Amino acid sequence: MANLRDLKRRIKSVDGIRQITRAMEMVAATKLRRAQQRIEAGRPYTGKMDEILAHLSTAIQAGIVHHPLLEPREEVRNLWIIGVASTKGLCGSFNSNIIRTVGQHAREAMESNQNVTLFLVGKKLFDFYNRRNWQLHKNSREYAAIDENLPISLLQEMTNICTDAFLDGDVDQVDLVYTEFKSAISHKIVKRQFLPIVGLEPTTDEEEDRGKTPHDYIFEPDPGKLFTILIPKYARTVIFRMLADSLASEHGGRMNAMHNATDNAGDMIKTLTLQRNKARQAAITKELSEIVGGAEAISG
Amino acid sequence: MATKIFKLMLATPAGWVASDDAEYLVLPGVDGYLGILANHAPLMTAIGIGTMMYRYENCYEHNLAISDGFLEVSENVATIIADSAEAAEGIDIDRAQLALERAKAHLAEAGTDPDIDVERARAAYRRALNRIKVCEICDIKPKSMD
Repeated sequence: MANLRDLKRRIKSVDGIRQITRAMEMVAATKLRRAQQRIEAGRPYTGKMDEILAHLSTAIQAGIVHHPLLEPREEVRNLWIIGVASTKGLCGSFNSNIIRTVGQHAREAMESNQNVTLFLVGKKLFDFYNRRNWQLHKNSREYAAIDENLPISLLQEMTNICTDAFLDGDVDQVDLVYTEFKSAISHKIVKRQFLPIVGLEPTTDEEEDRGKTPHDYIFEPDPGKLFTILIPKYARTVIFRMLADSLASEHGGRMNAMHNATDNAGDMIKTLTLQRNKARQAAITKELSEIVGGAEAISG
Repeated sequence: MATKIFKLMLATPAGWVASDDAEYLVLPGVDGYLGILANHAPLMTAIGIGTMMYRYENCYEHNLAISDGFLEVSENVATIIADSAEAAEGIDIDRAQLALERAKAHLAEAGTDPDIDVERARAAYRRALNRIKVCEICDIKPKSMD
């Protein structure tokens, strides 16, 4: 059995760790709340955007409207994978899951002879693939650590980088890999295509709308032009959703990880305290029996 | 006579800005300002940078600096989504002034520096000017400052 002093020292240090993990849990919880609020705040905008886009596309279905961002390439030679993870660690399996999924996806693409470029957000993710000398996007480094407030200029810039490259033909497809936020304890890794844009059909949310006959809208300017204005904005909301979800998931993951760490530290302290008490009792018993033995020797 | 009203909903990426009944609405469309009254025909249009005004019954006129958005009118509901929409009290005028100076400088250098995105600088210039303008409008009418 370990000696009393060592046990006391260990209990103290574990208690210190517990205090830190508890504080980190609190911080993550606060940040999570803020991130959740941001998702909530963005919902009306994205929801209305989907609605308007759905109305617009039903209205112009008869006409022929093409948008270069919607047109799939016949052959995908160059593929970008945008991966989003975090800049800080200690958030459970959050980063490693993304790292694994990005790697998997990239390898699959390479097997079908595609030239894969990784565009990574989050220092942990960036460092992992940078160290292994993967082909990274030239802007990756500056996006390795992003502003958590997600200013609109940042979203716009990121969207522009992708859409410009797509329109210039430098890239044929852009995929996203990120963590979708469902609740504080439930996150899901999603892998979806970003460019060319797919799935503009009305989502299930607008089911009640679908029954209605489309209105005879007045368009100003013409629907084609409206579409051209709306599509890049839609692309930006996809980027926004991705980053906002990922941030919320990160804080959720960290909160959970730190909660578990605090619990584990508590268990450890319990075990160690038991050991310490046993050790102390053993020392007392030993001392007593020595005294009694000594007294008996004198009287005897 | 009872005034005819319609529902106005304005959302930006930062959340709802307005969800109100309105008597009239004036907006900077990409091809010029347009006004909406109750029972307007279904309409879809893109919004540029400018001042959006709306009024509800006896209430004061709301002035908002709005930029880059979309308007859909159908069934007496005007739905607007915009990159930004701020009332005068929400505008940081110092920041707008700084942005204006910066945009001016960018535009002045645009001829010599090919790295400058003229379109972007011009848009930034207009946005800043618009914010300042909205603040000025509301100074003239201090009752809308509450």
